[in-house]
Formats: sequence, C-alpha cells, structure tokens
Amino acid sequence: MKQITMLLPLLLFLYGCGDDPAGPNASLGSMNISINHAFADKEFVLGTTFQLANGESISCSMIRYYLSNIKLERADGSMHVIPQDSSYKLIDMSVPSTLKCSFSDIPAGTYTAVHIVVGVDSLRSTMGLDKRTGVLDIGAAAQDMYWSWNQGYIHFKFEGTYASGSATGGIRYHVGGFGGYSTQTINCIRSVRINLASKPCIISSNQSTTLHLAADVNKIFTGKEAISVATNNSVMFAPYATTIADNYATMFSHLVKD
Amino acid sequence: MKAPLYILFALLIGSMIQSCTETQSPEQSYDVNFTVPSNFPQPNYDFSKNPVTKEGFMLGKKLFYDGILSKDGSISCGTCHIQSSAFSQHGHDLSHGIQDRLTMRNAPGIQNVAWKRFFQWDGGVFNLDMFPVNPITAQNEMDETFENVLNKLRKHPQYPGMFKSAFGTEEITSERFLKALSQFQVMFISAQSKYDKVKRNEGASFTAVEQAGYEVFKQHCATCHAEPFFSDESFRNTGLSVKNQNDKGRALITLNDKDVYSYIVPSLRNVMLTPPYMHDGRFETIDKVLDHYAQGMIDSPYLDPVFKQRNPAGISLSAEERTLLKSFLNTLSDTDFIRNRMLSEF
Repeated sequence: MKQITMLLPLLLFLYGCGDDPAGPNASLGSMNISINHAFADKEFVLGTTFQLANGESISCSMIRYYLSNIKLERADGSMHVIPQDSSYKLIDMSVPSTLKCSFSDIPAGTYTAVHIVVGVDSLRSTMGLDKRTGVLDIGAAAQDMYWSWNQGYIHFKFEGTYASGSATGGIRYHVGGFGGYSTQTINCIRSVRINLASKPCIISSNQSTTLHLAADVNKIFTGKEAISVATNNSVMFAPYATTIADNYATMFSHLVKD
Repeated sequence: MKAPLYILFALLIGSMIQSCTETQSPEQSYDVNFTVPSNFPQPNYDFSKNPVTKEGFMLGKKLFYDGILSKDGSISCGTCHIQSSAFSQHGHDLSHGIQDRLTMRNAPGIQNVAWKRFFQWDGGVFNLDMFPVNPITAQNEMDETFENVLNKLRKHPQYPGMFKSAFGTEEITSERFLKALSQFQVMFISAQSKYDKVKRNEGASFTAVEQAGYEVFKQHCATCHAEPFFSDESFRNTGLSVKNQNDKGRALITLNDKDVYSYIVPSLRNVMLTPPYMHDGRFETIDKVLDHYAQGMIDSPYLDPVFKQRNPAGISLSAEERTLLKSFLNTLSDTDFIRNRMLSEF
C-alpha cells in the first residue's frame, strides 16, 4: 500500500497526459500567467507589516516557490497538458519578471480551469542532472531551493519577521519533501485547481492571452488552519511543514479583470 | 589479397598505439574503462547518461583534489577521503571542515560507489551525481555556494580547457561539473583483495584460519554485511550510546521514529584500513567495535531486532572466534586499491 501511495502522483500524472482532443493540427496560441500577490484585501509589498486575524503581525522579506505541471481544463473536462519540461517556474517576489510566466503552443480554445502543482513533483525530484536545467539547476537558479543533505527541492520559502504581543523574532518556512525515495516521509507537493468558469481563459490562434491569478499571502497563515507564527516560526523539514503546505495551497484564485 | 592488407593495417595501427603508450606520461596511459569485476553484480550507476572518458576522469580527479571547491581554498574532497585509508577519514573521529569546524560524523570511505544506492551515513542522497553538493555547501564542511564554485572554475586558467576536452566546449555547468566528479569516483573500484581473488578462483586460497574466520563471519555478520559489498545498505540502530542528540541518523531523512539513531550498514571492505569506526568515529580499533557488539550494546526500542536474538542484546563471539574473524577481515584489505596511482593525488 505504501508503494502505491508513493506511486500515486506518478500515475495521476501519466493519466493526465495524452488526453488532448484538440489534436496535433489544432491552431496554437500562447498564454501568460500573471500572479498578483495580495494580503487579504491589501496590496502585498515585501517589508510591509501586515496583521493576522489572531492579533500577531508579520513582515515578509522573501517569498519564493515553484509552480509546475500545469494543465488547462476545458468545459467538457478534457485537458491540455503543458509539456512537463517547460512547465517549471520559480516565482520570486523580489524579482518582478518571475511573476509572469509564459507558455507557448497551447491549442486555441476555451479553458475553464487551470491545474497547477505548487512545488516540484516527486518524479522530477528523482531524475538525473540532464532533467535539472533552467530553474531546476541546483548550481544556479535552484541553488537556494534545494536541500543537498536530504536530496530534494524546496517547494516554497517564506522568510520574514513576526511580532506577537511583546515577542518578536524571525520567520523561516522552508517547505520541501516529495514523499521519500525509498522510505515514505512527508510530502509537501500540493496540486491546486483554480476555477476560471466565471470568465474562461480563451486562447486564440497566434495570439497571446494573459491569465491573471491572485495569490493571497494571508492564506499561508490562515488558509486551512490558523498558524501562530510566534509558536511556529521556524519550520523546515518537519511534519508541521505539511500544515503550511496545506495553507498556501489555498492562496491562489482567479483574478477577474474587467 | 584483401585479408593480408587488413592484417598489415592492423599491425601498423597496433605498433602506432604501442609507440604512443611508450612516449605518453603515466597519467595518459591510465586505463579508465569501467569494467565490472566478475564477482560483482551489474552497477547501479547509469553509465548511459555519463560514460566515463579519460578526459572526464582527469577533470574529475583534478576537481576531487582541488581546494577551490571550498570557500577559503583549504579543503578538498581528498582532505577527508584519504586514499591510504580507502578514501575514508583517519586521524579524526569527527571530520573537520574549513577553519577546523567540526562536522557530526566521520567521513566514510569512497569505494565501489557505482554499485551504491545510498550515500551519507543517513542515506539522504540517493544519486551519486547529486552527492558533492552537500559537502560543498555545508557550513561545517566546505561552506561554499555551488554557483560560486562554478564561477571560480570559469575564471581558472586550466579548467575551461579541461571541460572542453571532457565535454566538447568550455562551458562549465553544474551538470558537467557533477558528472566529471562522478566519472572519477565510479573508478574507485576495490576488487583486488585476497577475498576477491579467492572468490574468482584466481589462484589464491584462504588459510585454514581465514576460512574458519569466514565461517564465523557468515554465521554472525553476513546478515547485514552482505557479500560481495559487505553491506546490505540497510539502516540499523546498533545500540550505540547517544553522544550527539542532534544527530538522529536516518530519522533526519525519514522523520520516522523507528529510524532514530540508525545509520547505513558500512561496507567491511578494507575495514582493517579504515579506523576509526562507526558514524562518529568513536572506536579507534576493530577490537573496540567487537567489544561493543559483544557487551556494549544499549537495548532500546530503536535497537535493530537482529541484535535482540539473545539476552543481553548483541553478538556472542568467543575469544577464538574473534581471532578467526579478524583474520578473515584482513583478507578484505585491497592494497592495490589504496596504492592505485590512477586515483592518487600526486
């Protein structure tokens, strides 16, 4: 059963492939995913102090995370899968250019949902060096998003400071773990489905369409379970990381622009 | 008429090759073909993605022995992985990094790594290519960033040319850097011990005492120290007293309570050449290790069940069995390996 659980992400991934009724001759367009970070109803800015619902406050110096394995869903449930090798994106709040990701060769059509893995999938985490290029290059872009002592990518990083009453301190959340290579351990890979039905994403032949997503940073602390940052201020490779992953997985939504 | 021409041509080429070898330096005449000893299984390393070439091997060798991998230039891979000790650490219980910063553990040997599935005492790395990043970036080892190592190599007078010889262009990437280090390390093959020569029927035979020691080994040790690598690469708690509570062993990787203070079963190849012993180098001699197994084990919920078959926990060895066992262990020493010039720094 253990092995089945570990293989499940792979099976789901394989299942997701090749199910593309648009066919090879469909006309193609491109898509940008633009991510707008907010803190509840406020604009999110690094270095600014924000209040949590529990009375604590936080200020953020770093948010970095991987997005990967992107699939676009049509109203009939069929999918267009972005080729995996070109699906890995590293979002870094301090680098504005990373907040907009481009994807090409998408069959023209109307898409009503987007599926995104927040983090790096387990299979890629076990692949050889030839499959670790670009944002996955551990000697360049990924060097601070990789644990060399416990081989695997860090899916998500949040660093900053907190205040709770008179107590203050630093926050370091480094969330990794892909389920384990030979022995099962924590898995912080999160797959999210973002509903676009209210205003579907329409890809047209030879045109570029921008899909706007909102990322609510407040959800890192409140999304599924309210976190006390005073109590949990340093979380890395530990079981509690799964709670933080559950939380941030809820931060994405469709940003409908008029 | 065609056949004799071929023969003539072959002879001509043969004599050219021969004259080349004669004029080449010993370095250039190294045989860097990876061959599987007949008493070994097929390797685990994927050579199809990184075939060993002489140029890649020489580049990996230069990198292995170069302090440029560390922040202040003082520590190379070879600093802790010493050939005369089968590329393990001697002289220290815990290995030291730059500025004499202490690590948690004793650097294990590098041998037969092409067959290994796990690296580090806790098995946190499961791909040889990915291993060097850990010692390079660990604050108490080389304390350097991987990116900075690559940048230093790019500005070096020799490395860009060596990368070109090995990989076709002067471009220095993480993939090429790590593959070169692997090309060097997969050639750390220890298969010329007396034990190997007996097993391969190469004319050697065990003495009566060694053979009796082999029987003791098979009865008491072979469950974990499985042949031909003398390790089954399992992770086990061997009842050592806890000296460093932060070093939870395999549990650091799995977060599983059952793996607390468990470490990978080390190979016994070259065991007599590789003191000190255990993950933290706490035992200076093999006798102290055997003392531990005979009467020093601490029974705990974490202790591997294999040791719980008697009370108190451990392995029963008579004084005579211990002597016999040590003579067998001596047959696992591979002096060709520790003297192999191809792998030497100088």
